[in-house]
Amino acid sequence: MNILGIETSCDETAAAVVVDGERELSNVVASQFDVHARYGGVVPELASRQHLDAITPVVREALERAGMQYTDLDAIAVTYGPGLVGCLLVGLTYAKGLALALGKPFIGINHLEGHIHAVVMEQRRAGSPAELPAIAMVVSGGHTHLFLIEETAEQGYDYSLLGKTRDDAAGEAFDKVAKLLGYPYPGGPLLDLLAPFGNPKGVALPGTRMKGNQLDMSFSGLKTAVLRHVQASDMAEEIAERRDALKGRGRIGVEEARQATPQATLDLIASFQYRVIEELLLRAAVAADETGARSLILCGGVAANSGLRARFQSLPVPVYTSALALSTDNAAMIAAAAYPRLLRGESSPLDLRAQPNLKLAQ
Amino acid sequence: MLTLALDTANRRGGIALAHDGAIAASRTIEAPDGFAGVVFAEIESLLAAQGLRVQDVDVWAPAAGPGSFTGVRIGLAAAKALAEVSSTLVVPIGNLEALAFAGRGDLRAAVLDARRGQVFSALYDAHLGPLLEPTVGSWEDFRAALGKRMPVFATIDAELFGSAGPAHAERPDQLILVDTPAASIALLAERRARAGETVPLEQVQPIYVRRPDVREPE
Repeated sequence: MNILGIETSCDETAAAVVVDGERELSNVVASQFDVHARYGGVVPELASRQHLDAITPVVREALERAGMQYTDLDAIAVTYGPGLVGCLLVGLTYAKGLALALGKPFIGINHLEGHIHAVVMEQRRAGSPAELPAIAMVVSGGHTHLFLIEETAEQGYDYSLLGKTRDDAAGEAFDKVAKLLGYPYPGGPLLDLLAPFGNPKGVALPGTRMKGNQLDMSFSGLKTAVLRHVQASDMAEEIAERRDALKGRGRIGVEEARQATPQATLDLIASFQYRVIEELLLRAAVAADETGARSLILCGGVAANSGLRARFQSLPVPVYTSALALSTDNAAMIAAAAYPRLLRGESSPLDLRAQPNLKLAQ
Repeated sequence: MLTLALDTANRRGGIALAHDGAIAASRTIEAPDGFAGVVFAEIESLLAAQGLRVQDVDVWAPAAGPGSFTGVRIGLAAAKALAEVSSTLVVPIGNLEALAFAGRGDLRAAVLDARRGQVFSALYDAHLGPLLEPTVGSWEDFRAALGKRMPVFATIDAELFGSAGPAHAERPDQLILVDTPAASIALLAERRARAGETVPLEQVQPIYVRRPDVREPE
């Protein structure tokens, strides 16, 4: 079965063709990096405008690379939440229009379920499907969630929410700390590149203990701890110089960033990254233990973080991640998530609305 | 030639079907929760009432704006997708131009409620040649730009001239209230499609008029 996936929930316009939930024939992502970089973050209205401009060429390219015509498709899958509502609406409306004109099923997909299925797809393709029940840790710029995944013949994949961040998402914390330290947007991936050059025990940053659900997480306190350290260490001048030096340079390479970063700051970055990873790892370990999960799926944009990937291998269950191109937002994961639903004959009505706060599980 | 017009740009939307120069069906769309949820059902039901399907449409004519940014994009995204599959034409029509088409006289002013105490406005001649390009601003600014010209006004927004509307102080003598410009959009689009005045689908652009609320970085 050939599924066209479309994803426009934030600042990437993406389309992909996936066969039988396993084989990506194409995976096209048009990044809006240059549009938003100078604003220091995603501007929703500009993102929506870009999606409308990009959607037709991106979908055409996905089909072309797959060597397919519209009539070769069996279904159209699209993200309908969570995300920026104006952005979601472009992809959702376009997908509905294609499906209606083709007379093919249209399937709305939760963006978080998509991230999980990026890994499910790769494991299926490798011939070693992730063992269920599994823990899924979805970590991105907008989300930090722990789910238990089970599968039943009647329901298909079934998700239960075990824990989530109560404030900033992990990726958001990375980006905010990077900004605080004078690195250009989006600074999170840059911190991952710089962290290996610092001492992760160099600065003592506090862990968080949650009241209530121990599997919930919080990262705003950690960000504040970094801020206090910056203030106490009199780093304002260093940060201002770095901001000026790196301003307007587009994507920064690690060597360039490293040259603008003294050792003490590299230690702070390494310590921050270490603490974020430990917070995530601790919850993942407890969740796996308490649920008797047989594997763990680590996914979402922050799952591209090399430190995180390496540290999670210490868990006592098999840990599965996806290729880097499938960790960040893409449409192959949306098509992959739609496949089991299509197999069960599910489709979505054409009056499906975009849901910016859509939940995968309660 | 069958042309389906779709207007989701403003508070009250509309849909219309033109068949060889005549309107076969037209209706307004009320969608208090937004057009995204209802637009395809409206298209299907209007076509079904004529014994038609989306595959029968030759020209898709979305309202290009101005209006709500999101509303404009919903209409354009829907039309582009429907046209893309069947390689049919998309001919977008500006909402103000469509209102002027629905108007009369040698001087045709079109106004729309732009919220925030402002109006979208433009002035056209009888052949829809633009005399004042679409803009957004206060009612007073538009009147000042008109100077001594006395156009016939057309709008879908009677509220503009109500006690709370931005143009409350002055209701023009010659005012045409249009339910929906969808029929005008359909007829104009059909005319342009026949004249070959079309652009490739991927080059179809919205007419936002208003700038996005973004503070430019330093």
